[in-house]
Amino acid sequence: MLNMLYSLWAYRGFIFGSVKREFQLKYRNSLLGAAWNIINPLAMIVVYTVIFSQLMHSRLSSVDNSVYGYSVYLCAGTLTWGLFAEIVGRSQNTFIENATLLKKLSFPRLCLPVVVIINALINFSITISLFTLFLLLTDNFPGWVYVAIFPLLLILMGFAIGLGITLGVLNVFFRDVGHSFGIFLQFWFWFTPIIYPITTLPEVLQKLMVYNPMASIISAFQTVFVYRLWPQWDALIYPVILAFLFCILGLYIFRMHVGEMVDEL
Amino acid sequence: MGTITVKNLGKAYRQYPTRLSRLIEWIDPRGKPRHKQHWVLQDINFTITPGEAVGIIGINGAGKSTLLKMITGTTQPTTGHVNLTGSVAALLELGMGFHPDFTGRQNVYMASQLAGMSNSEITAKMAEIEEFAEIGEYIDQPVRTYSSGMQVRLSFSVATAVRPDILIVDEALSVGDAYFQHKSFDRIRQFRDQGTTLLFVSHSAGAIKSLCDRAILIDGGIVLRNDSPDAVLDYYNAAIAKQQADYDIKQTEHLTGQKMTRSGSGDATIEIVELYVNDQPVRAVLSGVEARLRISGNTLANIDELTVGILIRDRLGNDVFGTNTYHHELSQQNVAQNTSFRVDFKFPALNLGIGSYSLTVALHSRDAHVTDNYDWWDRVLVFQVLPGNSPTSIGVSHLPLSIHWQETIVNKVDKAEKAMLVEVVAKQIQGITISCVESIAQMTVNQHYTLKVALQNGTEQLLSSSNSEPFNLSYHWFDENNNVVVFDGLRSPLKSPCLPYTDAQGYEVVVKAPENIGQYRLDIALVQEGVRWYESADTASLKIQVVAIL
Repeated sequence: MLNMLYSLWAYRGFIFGSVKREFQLKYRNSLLGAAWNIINPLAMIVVYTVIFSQLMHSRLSSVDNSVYGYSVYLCAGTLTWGLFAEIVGRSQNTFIENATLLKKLSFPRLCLPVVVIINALINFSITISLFTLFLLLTDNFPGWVYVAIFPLLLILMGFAIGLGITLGVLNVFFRDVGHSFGIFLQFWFWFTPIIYPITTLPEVLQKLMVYNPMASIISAFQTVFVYRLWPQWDALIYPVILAFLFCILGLYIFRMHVGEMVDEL
Repeated sequence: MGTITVKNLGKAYRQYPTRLSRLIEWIDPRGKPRHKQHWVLQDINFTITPGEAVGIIGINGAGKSTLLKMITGTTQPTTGHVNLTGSVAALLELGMGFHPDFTGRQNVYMASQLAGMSNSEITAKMAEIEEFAEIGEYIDQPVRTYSSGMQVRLSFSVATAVRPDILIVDEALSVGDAYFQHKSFDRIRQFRDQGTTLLFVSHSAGAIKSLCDRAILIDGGIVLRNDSPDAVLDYYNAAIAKQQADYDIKQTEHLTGQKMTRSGSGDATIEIVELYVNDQPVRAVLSGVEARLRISGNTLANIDELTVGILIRDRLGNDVFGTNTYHHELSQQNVAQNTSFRVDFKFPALNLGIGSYSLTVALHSRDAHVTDNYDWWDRVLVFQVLPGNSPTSIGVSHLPLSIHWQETIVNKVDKAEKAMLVEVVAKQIQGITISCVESIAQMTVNQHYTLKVALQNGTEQLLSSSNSEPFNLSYHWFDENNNVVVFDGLRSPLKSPCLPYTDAQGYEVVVKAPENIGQYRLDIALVQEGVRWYESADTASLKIQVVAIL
């Protein structure tokens, strides 16, 4: 384990270089360049605010009379879900996408998911900063409870990384994993109260929600941003344990099959 | 630093009957294997000592690339292990890891980062990399605009920017133009002379003979021979390469059979052309062996005069050798219709250089095909010339040759006589003295050692290797009877100029110990372009005991 971290540190040049290159590649041949990093999430916030709260007059029953209530609710859910989906989705393909590198060169393989994670974090920090700015400007900033998002992010990322690496390794051997998880992720998104409040669900489903770790995590974010309250920490014990288990499983599968992976690509 | 130890190394790829069986094997708690193992390499054992240069040869599919991949750590071995000490650079696939949309400079960073270098190290080496690659302003253009040669040049200079303790080179170098091939081989040689361990895979017997101290032959996944390059290559040529080359060429002939160009009136036609060695039809011959070319044909009309001509061309289509029966005054007069004929061209020794050749056969009248061309068949067969048992040569011809030394000069040079000799040639730059600063009393056979030498320049001349005629430090070994054992050792060019009238300057000379144990004397000399201008006085002579490996 320590060896792994040490070799990652030795290859920090490659890791940061790759992160930089990925950014350059994304906005290569575009006039606005890195500005798209800001325009995209900004557009999303505008869409949620204008379409849902202004045009469709959707209101959250629990947050009365706030104009921005529903759009804050939407952003809190989609932004954090976006981070989760990006880490899982990209890590499950990273070994396949870099097959030529893996086959020809010897370097710590764990660099690849680390690059994905750092990249996702940078993207997320841009969007969350914009979102925070939006909250401050519309006088919706939750105050001190804002710091609660950091431990929440840690849980979310731990879960995403563990799951992502597990799927990433499995995907090399069974490509079905990649295809099926894409579909699964869509169902998962709609089965998590992100776009709709949990209260709109029938009671049977509301009870089942306990078993969806993402529902607990996302709802904690919503609690912070929308209701400006500290999240219910005890509801997060189950996701924490799950995140921990997936991290162990991911590392175990990775270590068991990392050598075989090259032969299979 | 620079040791490669390979122990019981084996590689088997897993073959599952279906995709599902892998899944079952993974989740089956009893751990019962459901795959078959397909062994590509088995029981590979060898050790390479620091500074040694070892060549690996074998036909395609023998497992050479898999072996290199395991040594570099890209693929994990199924059994055994590999132990490397020191830094490793591998030239397995040049241009690997280059992204077409980034500039050459950005790609240099990426490739070096992949080799574990830090950004500051890369920046420091950048100028040197650019200079060696010789791609000029293209360095700041996207790699997709590069020619393949430019990519190769850039990636070679990146991979060899820092001298590694171990250098692993695959066939990769066979790309690029001749100029760059030379340049890159020079760099590899230079690394080897400075003590880098070299592991080199090639089909080229010439490269292995000239570069390596030892060769390992791999065939069918096992080490077949591990011996001196000569011994291994002889075995390889005799036993393996010939069969394989024969087979390969026949395969390609078969595939490209339709593309042979043929022209002529058809009054006479070529039926069969075959190359024989020892009465066996072959497509690969060892250079310098006796060979026979048999051409059979038919006439379909009455022909006044029938000449049979042959033309051997090299890989690039250049004429190498051609003649015909007319020039040998053996053309047949008045050949009747429907005669079948057979002509044998016998070569007592087919002294062609190593490479691939094509044969063109023509039937015509008189001395050339201009008058009456009956049948002209281009590339009727392609054959390969492999290195024979005679010494290595380059080029399309392998001329029989014997070399005679003026032994009085080489052997038993009397001290006084030698001093005189030196005085004569050294006149122009008198005032230069060499002295050995650091000496080593005992050396191991065949190993490389670095000696520190001081050079005092008392002349007006500037000595440097960048002058029009470069200066080198070379060395000579003498045995107890004052016989020259190694006449002219490896040369180290002067790295920095030795300015006129300066104080003594320090240099390093890499010396290879003789191959036999004994008591030797080592003389170090300053040489200019192979001409000895000045030889050391007694001060640079060292008494050295050479011992076997402990």
